[in-house]
Amino acid sequence: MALALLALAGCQIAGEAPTATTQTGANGEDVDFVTNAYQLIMFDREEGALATSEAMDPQVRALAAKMVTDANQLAAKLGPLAAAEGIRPPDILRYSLRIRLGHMRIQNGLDFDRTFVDDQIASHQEAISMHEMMAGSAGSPALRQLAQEAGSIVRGNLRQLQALQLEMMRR
Amino acid sequence: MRAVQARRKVAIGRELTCRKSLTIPCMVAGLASLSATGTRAQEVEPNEYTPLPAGTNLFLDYYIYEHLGKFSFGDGPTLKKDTGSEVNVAVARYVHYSEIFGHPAGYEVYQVFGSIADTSIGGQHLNNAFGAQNLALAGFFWPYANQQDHQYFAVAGWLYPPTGTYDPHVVINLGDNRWRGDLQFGWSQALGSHFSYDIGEDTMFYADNTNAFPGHQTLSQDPTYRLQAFVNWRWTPGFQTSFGYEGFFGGVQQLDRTQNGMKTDEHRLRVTGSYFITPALQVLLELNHDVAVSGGFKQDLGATLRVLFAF
Repeated sequence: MALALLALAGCQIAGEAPTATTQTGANGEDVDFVTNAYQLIMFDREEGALATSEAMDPQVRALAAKMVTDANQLAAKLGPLAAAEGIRPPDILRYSLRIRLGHMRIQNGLDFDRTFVDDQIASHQEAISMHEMMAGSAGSPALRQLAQEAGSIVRGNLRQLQALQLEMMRR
Repeated sequence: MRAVQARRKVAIGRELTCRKSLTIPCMVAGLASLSATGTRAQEVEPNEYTPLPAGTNLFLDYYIYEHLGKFSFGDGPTLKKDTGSEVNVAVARYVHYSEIFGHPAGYEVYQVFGSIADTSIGGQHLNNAFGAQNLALAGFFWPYANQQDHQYFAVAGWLYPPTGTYDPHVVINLGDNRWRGDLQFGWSQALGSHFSYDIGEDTMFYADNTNAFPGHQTLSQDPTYRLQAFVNWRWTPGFQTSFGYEGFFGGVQQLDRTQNGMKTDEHRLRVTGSYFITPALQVLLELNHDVAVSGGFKQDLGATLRVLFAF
């Protein structure tokens, strides 16, 4: 049984990649954008899903649910555009996001609201700089357009997160 | 040629001694499989049934100390005077988390190495052993993992090929010259944000050691059943304390089809504390004590220091 599981695990590991890959020689800026966008989408989905059961503050729950919806909508648009450019998105989280998510799992909701808001502010700030970089790049016009669209949604969510953070600090 | 004949005489003499009078060394042949029980990594620490995100790697380094006191021969006498052993081992362990068919899964490998020293039973001093235990390979899978409700059911399969240091002419070895396999089931659940518990059951299966002390004897062993449980309290996001129980059952040994008085009947209490120094670096300290043992050494004091690094 152990050998069978090891063999299966080995097959799976071969496909694990924290960065997008391309076999068509896609623009490097496009590959970076798809990598970072998918990383943040996967992270927002996982952490946002935990928030629906862990968050104590109804405002945090509501915002988490909205962010999961936003992440799903962005993923639905990004997938076909990445495929059209010959880019295969990553399928595992990069190191720093894995560590953050791992802590959320083992903490069982302890101090969840504060950790979640801090995490999401960091990931939204990273997303904004990524979108700005993509918008000014010489990459795919379709991906640049998506970066602009996503940028305004992310800014709106970031403002709400920062307001929540301020409120928590005042309590 | 004389030297060869002399060694043969010694070996034959040992076999006769073992068959006729069951001296202490013969009765405790296979002792290594009982001592240093804390070094088996399917002995879980708190939260080990919680899957980490796919792609996560862990490197864990353990230092384990065991001071063994009384020795009991199954249903026979218990020896206290001039009896004991000191175990000092280190463990290097690598764990990788992945996903299979959309479920959390992973594999791991670990190696134990160190020493078992100053072993005496009833005043009879036995050999010191240095070297490595069998390599351990495992695959694990979560058929059920509910992250929202913090409920996890894990299954793990372990395999121990006979790679450990082994000399059939001495009583105590770190390796045991036989294949072993273990099937483990674990359940973990959090109730609220501070309290959680872990429960595990595993069964270890043993192939025969066909070259058991004092050479060319066959050591066979019934499966060992083990229960493990922890109740955990998380004080802060990075600091947790736990109280646990570990019980071994079964594992009756036979040497050339004659029971040698050894078995795995052991009940241990465990206390642990763990702390994240950085988000990727955790230290854990465990203290443990055997409350009852039959068919082996009783551990007066055990201590484990574990350093975990996630990458």
